[in-house]
Amino acid sequence: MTLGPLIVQSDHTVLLEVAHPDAEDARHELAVFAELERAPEHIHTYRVTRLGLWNARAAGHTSEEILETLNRFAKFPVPGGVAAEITDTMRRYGRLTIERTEDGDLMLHSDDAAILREVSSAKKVAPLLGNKIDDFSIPVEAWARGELKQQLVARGWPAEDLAGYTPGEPYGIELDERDWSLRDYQHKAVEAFQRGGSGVIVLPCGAGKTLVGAAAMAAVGAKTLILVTNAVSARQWRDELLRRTNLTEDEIGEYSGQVKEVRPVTIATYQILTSKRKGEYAHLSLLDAQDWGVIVYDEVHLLPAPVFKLTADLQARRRLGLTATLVREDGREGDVFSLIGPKRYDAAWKDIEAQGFIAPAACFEIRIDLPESERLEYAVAEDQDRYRIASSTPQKERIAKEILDRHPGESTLVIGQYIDQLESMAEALDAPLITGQTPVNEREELFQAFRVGDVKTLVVSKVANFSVDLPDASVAIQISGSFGSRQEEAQRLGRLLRPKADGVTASFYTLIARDTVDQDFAQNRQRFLAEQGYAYTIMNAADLPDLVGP
Amino acid sequence: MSGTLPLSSYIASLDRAGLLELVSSRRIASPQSVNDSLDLAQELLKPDSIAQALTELTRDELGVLARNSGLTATTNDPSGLQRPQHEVETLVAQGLVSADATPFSEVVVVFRAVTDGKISPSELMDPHPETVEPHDEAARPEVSGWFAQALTASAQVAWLLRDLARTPAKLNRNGEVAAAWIKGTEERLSIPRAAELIELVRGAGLAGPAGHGFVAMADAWLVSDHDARWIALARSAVAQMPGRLLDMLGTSEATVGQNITPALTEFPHRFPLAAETTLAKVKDAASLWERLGITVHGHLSAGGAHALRWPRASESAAPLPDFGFPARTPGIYIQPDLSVVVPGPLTASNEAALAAITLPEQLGVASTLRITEGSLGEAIDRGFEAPAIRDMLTALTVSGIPQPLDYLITALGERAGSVIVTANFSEHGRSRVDFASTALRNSILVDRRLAHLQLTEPSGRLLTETTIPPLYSRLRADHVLAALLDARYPAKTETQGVDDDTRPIMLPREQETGGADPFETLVDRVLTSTAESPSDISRQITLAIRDRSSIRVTVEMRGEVRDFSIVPISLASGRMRALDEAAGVERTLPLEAITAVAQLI
Repeated sequence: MTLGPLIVQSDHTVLLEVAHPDAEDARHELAVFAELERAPEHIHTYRVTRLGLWNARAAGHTSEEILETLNRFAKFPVPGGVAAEITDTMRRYGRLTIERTEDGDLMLHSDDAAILREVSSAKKVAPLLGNKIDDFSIPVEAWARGELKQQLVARGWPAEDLAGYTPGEPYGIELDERDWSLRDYQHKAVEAFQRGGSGVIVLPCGAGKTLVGAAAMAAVGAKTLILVTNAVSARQWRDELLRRTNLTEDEIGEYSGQVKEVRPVTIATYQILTSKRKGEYAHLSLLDAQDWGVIVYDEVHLLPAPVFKLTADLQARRRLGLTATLVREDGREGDVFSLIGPKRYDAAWKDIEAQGFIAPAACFEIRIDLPESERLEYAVAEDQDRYRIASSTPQKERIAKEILDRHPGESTLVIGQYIDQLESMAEALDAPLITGQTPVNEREELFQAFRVGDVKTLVVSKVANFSVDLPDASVAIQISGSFGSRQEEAQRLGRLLRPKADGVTASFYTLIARDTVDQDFAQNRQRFLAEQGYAYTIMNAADLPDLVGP
Repeated sequence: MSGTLPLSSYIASLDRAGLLELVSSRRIASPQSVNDSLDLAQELLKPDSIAQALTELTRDELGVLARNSGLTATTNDPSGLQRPQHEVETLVAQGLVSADATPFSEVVVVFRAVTDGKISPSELMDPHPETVEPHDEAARPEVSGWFAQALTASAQVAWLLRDLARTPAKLNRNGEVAAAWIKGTEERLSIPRAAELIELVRGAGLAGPAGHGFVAMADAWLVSDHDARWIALARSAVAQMPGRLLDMLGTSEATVGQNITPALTEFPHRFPLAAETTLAKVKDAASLWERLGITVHGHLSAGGAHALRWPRASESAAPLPDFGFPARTPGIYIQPDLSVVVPGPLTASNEAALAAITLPEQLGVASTLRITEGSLGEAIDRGFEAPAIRDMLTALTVSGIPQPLDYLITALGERAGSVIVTANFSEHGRSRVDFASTALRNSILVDRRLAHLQLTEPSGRLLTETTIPPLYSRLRADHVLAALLDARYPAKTETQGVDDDTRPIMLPREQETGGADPFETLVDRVLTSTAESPSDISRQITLAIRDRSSIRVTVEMRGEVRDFSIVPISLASGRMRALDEAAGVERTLPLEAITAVAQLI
């Protein structure tokens, strides 16, 4: 026993004692093969997964190196079962390879005929393969590369994909770094993507994912399709690319409900890609409209299910997923791994905050007692109405006002779920309201007014959850949400994390009706951020004046 | 030849130890009905009992049985019987063959039926029909980290037992712990394969059925040191392995690093008629051994070797060796997300205190627990005071108490008791609910989630300004309390420190199993009957009549003792009528004159 900073558990979790003098070294080496699950204040939890080990193997690391790392930093001996499984798991990677023949066909190959026989006889694998060439090689159907990899991973025999990617039509994209430069972690993220060819980059909101996307496009140097969540986000991508690269307006197209432009760099919405006409996807041809060298999936955690299927057919093209929270409320993280690619880079929010690239934030949960009349209304309500009744309590208007009074002059977002509640709140606060019904132009005007400080408080519906560039927001008041959505909570906090000019700490308030389902959902919503190290201060509404300084 | 009489004679010749070994190794359908050696012989020659005995015979023993049953070619022995000493001794001791190695006719019939289609008698002649794969001793894993498995399993058992102590598990109609309860517990306590642990604690006597529930009986175990806890579980796990496999392992000489995999692999070959249930039992027990750290990838750990050697008298009384478990941790980390990391073993009392207010997320050498409003609320409802909880955490934590936790402790402590539920024995209902505020009462009264409680207020009651009238429910107080807590009302029961009072009354283990060991009492009855009446003459004659077999009877009349070899025909009115084939006459002998009966081959 070395009394090191790690405790390796027999369930393959690894606990890292943050205050230990060797913690930083251990963290650095762990990142090669273990997934960070939680990063609260004192003990971080990593998990040694098969995918993590295979990624490490793909990057050239051996099981001996990994076990040496664990043994060197472990407080207690590494459980024998864990060591044996690490060795066994890593041994499996690369026993199968997908290669491209001289004729350009795909071939599944193994030096071990028994392994090839085992996987090729599986019911879900057989249809993806052609007739056996010999005991060591079987052709792969041209369309089946993605699905085959999915199936092989599921069977514990991940194939090393050596078939390469379609280079795409070359297109010169360069970063224009005259008055800025990529940060260190952004460089690392791009390098990790380049090494892997496809995969997901996870960075906190405000940490510059768009720049990572632009740098990846420049690194590939080919025509690019960018898929985003909505039209506003598409325009923000366009603006950012114009500002940060040598691309001109003529080279960037928008493919959305309003505009249908196909250019060397085309930005499309998920919605347009999945819209159907007479039962058919009407805009699928976009995927083949150009010889794309890379496809960027913005906010990949929101990738709609139909796009998964489409993505399975795009395995020959490089794919880059960008997200702040690789948490899917539908539990389809595995599909993101298989079809977009493994997580290539992940930075803990607090690490980026410590480097000063995102603003520090203080989170508050304010508990409000419902008055008796509302308590009775809540008590007699049907289950499906309870959350709306509790989270929409008019009491929140008074508390929101108090919070605004405590932050005079600070740009504040009031974010909610229910339109009638938002309308009432906007009226009570005398602030403009942005919802899904607000025309795009009016929406952008209000955002611009907010940016320049003409409007200090904006009341917004969930349209502002994603990809809205609000650089000066320093206070957010969350009055209701999509039930227990963790990623929504993280995205909303993310609205505040762009570094502030004066270095002030952002404040994120969540107003909760005590002893209601509002409180239950809040607990779930906070999980992701709490695991990232954000501590929520809980307080009673009545104590607000005492605890929040002006 | 029917085996009843010779087997009965053999049984009558056994001493207590031999008899106990026989009855404990064989299936006896109704031990209560066995009163003497004849009863026992009949039980042992029932097809079910024989079939079970055959499953426990080795390939060599079955081979001897096959030859001597005439199922395969015989040997050079003039009698046609094969008599390898060790195998015959086993077969005789199992009550399957006579002293001269002749299988009883009942055994031959069952043996034919059992082997038919499953294994050919000739296969039994080959002692090594399949080559057992060699095991690579060079690939022996490092077993020094076995304590990780050991402490993980012990922690899981501790959580399970504490949970059972609070609320007994439901039993299904078969008297087993209900599957729904097991599934729920696995999710709630993050304990995988809880059914395996249920069997383990049952076997270790740490929990068992009582009334309609399955309850913990583990107060002493829960306050023991980690090594004492573990060895108790390990011994129970060893006992779950079939004895024949333990024999193959040579348990008395078990050594650290010994590979048990060859024995596991060879078991089905050595016992070719072993029942599927036995094979499953071996597999399950091996899995449990791995879980407990008795083995690490099939190799015995230091603790495992000790647990296997334990029945040896010299070690059973000896103090436990130092298993090398990690030292106790100096403190715990409480994090702002309300997770609690326990980076090593705690003392039993600290472990219990922490368990009272947390739920496990992941158990191991280091454990991750979680404090929630629910878990804190339950603790307060069980009588823990908020200041005591804060003091306990303050004493344990090395990272301080984060604000959200401090808030919750304060808030829940202040609000606890705003709604009080008490058992009630009046015409109004079985439980009474009192309130600290009218608003709470009004809300509860109309709350849809509580409609099933049918809370009512007694009519004709005089309301005063100073009291808030209580509500009553026809449901039990614990049901009412649970429903109120589920609906997030700050409810509690009136009794403080209810743990001890509400713990179900448990039957002592003896009562539960119907008193003393049934085998012991059976042996006592057989020995007593043998001592009082060496041979139950009339029953032996009746059996001989039924089997039409020859017997030798010893008759004492008028001071003269004579033996007759006869075939009995009938027994009535105290007289036996029999055919004396040697003399060519029919004899009638008074039963009272017959002093002994012996089977003739």
